[in-house]
Amino acid sequence: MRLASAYTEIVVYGTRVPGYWAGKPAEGDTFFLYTEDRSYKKGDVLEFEGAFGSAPASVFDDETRVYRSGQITNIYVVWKARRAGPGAGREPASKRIPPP
Amino acid sequence: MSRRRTILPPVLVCGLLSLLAGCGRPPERGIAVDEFDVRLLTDAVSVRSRLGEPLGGYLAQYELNFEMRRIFIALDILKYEKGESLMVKGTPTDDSVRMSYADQIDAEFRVIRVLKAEPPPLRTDIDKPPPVIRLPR
Repeated sequence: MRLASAYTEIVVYGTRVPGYWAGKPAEGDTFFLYTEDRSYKKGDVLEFEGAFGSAPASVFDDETRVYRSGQITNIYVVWKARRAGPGAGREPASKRIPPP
Repeated sequence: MSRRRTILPPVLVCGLLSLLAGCGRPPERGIAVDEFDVRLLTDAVSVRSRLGEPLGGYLAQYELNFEMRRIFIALDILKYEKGESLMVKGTPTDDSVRMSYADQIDAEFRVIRVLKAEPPPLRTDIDKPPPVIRLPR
């Protein structure tokens, strides 16, 4: 999955959720990857394991400066991630949360 | 006293998200939505409303019937700056905040909960020359 944003945050029911936007925005196929790892950059390609859910969230697009509230957002809670494609092998010092 | 950080187990977060998705719905359904063309008078501020709710947002000004009106627009993400112009869609509330601004000392401003905010579209026709009108001979 290619990261479509720099490190940012959304708000879900008043709680700040940090992470990155990823996916193919042109196809309307976007996800928010919930992670506290700030070491990735926009354009990085990630392979990750996690769990999926969706929730209404407040989001801000840094490029268009559009704010939306109550937008149903697909969210992946990232358990484990690593870079794929160019730049792979540079493992970030990420905090790994073992799956239950 | 030390502060401890609690991390929810991922499975709990997922369950919570799924539950929220099931229960959640866009807040604008069935609620009146007003539109305002505002200019932000302040940078982002955190205040407590008259009903005791902590709010983040901006004091903003818009024109209605040749009269300037001021409101408090409440957002969850505060990335706009003082002086910016915004087109705002939001739901009026019965709540208000008490603030001082310019000639208004300790005044009450109505709270608008913002559903969507965006900068106005940039005009692209400003640099174009005026159209040439050819008169018939």
